[in-house]
Amino acid sequence: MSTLADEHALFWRAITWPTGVEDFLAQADEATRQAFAATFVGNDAMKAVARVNIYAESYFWRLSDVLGEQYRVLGWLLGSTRFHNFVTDFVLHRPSLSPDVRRFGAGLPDYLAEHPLQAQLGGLAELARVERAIVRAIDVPDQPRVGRAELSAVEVARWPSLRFVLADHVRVLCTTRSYPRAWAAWKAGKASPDPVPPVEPQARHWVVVWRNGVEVFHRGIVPAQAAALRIAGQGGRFEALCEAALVDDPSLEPTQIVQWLGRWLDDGLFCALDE
Amino acid sequence: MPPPLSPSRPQLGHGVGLRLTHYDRALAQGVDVDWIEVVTENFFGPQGGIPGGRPRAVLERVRADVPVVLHGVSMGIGATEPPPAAYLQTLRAVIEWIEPAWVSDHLCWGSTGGHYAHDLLPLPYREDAIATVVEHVARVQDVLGRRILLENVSSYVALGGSTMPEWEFLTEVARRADCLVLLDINNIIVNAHNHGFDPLDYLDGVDGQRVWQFHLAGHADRGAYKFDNHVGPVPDEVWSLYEAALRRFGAVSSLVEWDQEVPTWEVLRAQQQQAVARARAVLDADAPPYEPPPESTPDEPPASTPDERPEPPPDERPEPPPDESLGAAGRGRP
Repeated sequence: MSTLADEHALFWRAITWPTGVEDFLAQADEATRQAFAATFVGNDAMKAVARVNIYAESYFWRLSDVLGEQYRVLGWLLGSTRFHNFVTDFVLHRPSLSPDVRRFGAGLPDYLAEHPLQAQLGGLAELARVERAIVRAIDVPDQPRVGRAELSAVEVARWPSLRFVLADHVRVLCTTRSYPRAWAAWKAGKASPDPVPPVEPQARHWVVVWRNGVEVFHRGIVPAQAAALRIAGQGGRFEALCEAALVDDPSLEPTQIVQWLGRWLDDGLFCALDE
Repeated sequence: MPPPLSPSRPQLGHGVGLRLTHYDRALAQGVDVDWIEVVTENFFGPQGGIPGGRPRAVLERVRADVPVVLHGVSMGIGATEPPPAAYLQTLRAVIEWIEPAWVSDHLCWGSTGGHYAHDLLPLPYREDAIATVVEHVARVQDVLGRRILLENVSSYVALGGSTMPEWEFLTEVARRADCLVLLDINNIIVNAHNHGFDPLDYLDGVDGQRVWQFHLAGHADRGAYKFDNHVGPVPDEVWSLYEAALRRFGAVSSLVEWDQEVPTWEVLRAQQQQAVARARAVLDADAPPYEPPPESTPDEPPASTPDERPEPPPDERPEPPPDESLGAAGRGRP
């Protein structure tokens, strides 16, 4: 008689087989087929293979649906067939390691970066990282929020030495395809592009993802603003942050950086002011 | 070790499962039902511990008004490996945070070797499975310092070597593990169809003292089998078995689940109100018999889904959160 562990292992292999339970049995050895027949019981109304296949379908589609929900813009860009095939690869090669199904897609951007689709079409893994940052920002633990009032309490003369600590929900990301543009097209219900347009040579688009209250937002930002925020993310002081922006865009007026600072504070990008 | 089992079960009344669709409503207005059940893992923080953002705000808002029950889907009490310590630590953190009325999960398995199916996979109804579950429940109850409720799951295939009917398996697990039972009425109907037994035999075989909660939900009839998809209103046969269960066990807290194609709050609450009225008709000798409402459903107010919020300024894009519920999938592999 088989053990519970044997049965679970057999059940698992059957429901995770890429093309269904029937194919699993077709390629299995005789001992496996006999174990299957002894473990799973069907009847005239429905054979055991068809019954176990219900679980195989559920396994695949539940995980696939999670990815479809979390990578909507990537799915839109790739189109339903290509996205489905990619998701199938991911489900097969990267089984879920978390009891929380919402974390299943966490490894998708890295997987996509190594997938033939990335080499073929370009610019996909970066978009996936933006979508991952958005999902991640939904429920990262709450932190204190620094607003204009907190900054106003600091003498202006001390601002250059201040460190504006980015909250954990903030991500500044670079893409070779514009995420805000793709998002807007998806949001507007436009048809997926066919064929997928090529990546613009040398294109660099910056996007910031953050959470304000309970809402998660993104917006495209100019490279100089991205440079400043990245310095903030590295723990740099305000003066270093300004320098980074000016290196990227020497024509910047100081008032522009102050305006950005006001916007960052209003958006809740910072969780602390350190000196 | 949990305290001695009380001869009288606590009464939460009649609740609904809170899903993402209704988070905004819950945040803005609270909930006008007796209690709420949430999927436990949806409130696990990204690195363990408790979450922030909308999940935290919603659950704290709801908890301020009504009791909350944590209903897990991934404990895997019937897996051959015990529930992972990290899982139990996070669960304990969520319990300490939200102080649920009780904590439940499913009498099934769903993971092996650290890989999760995110499904409720059936167990064989035999001694070795009972022993495995009892050992795991003891560990869980020890860590949590409280009894848990285990729910009977829908199943589509019988396991060879089973030596007892499902209800005897459930009852033996509850007795030996000294845990409680969340009796899913819909799952009994689904399994009765899929495996050919009388649902009333199931009720007769369950130890009513350990039944602290009912689940009520819909399912799909796919001809050869019934599929537990939690879509649509509670079917008549589930309501009938609910009433039969109330006659056998007395008052038991009930909860309506509707996890896919989730309707407006008003429609969901109408189902909860039906659970209230049917319980009253069965349990209150002075109450009139339950009369089903007219066919029409309440008018649906304009939905306030994340996708339909007013448009933000052009450079600021609010993101509709992805679905966090663990609905049962129901489509075929192409």
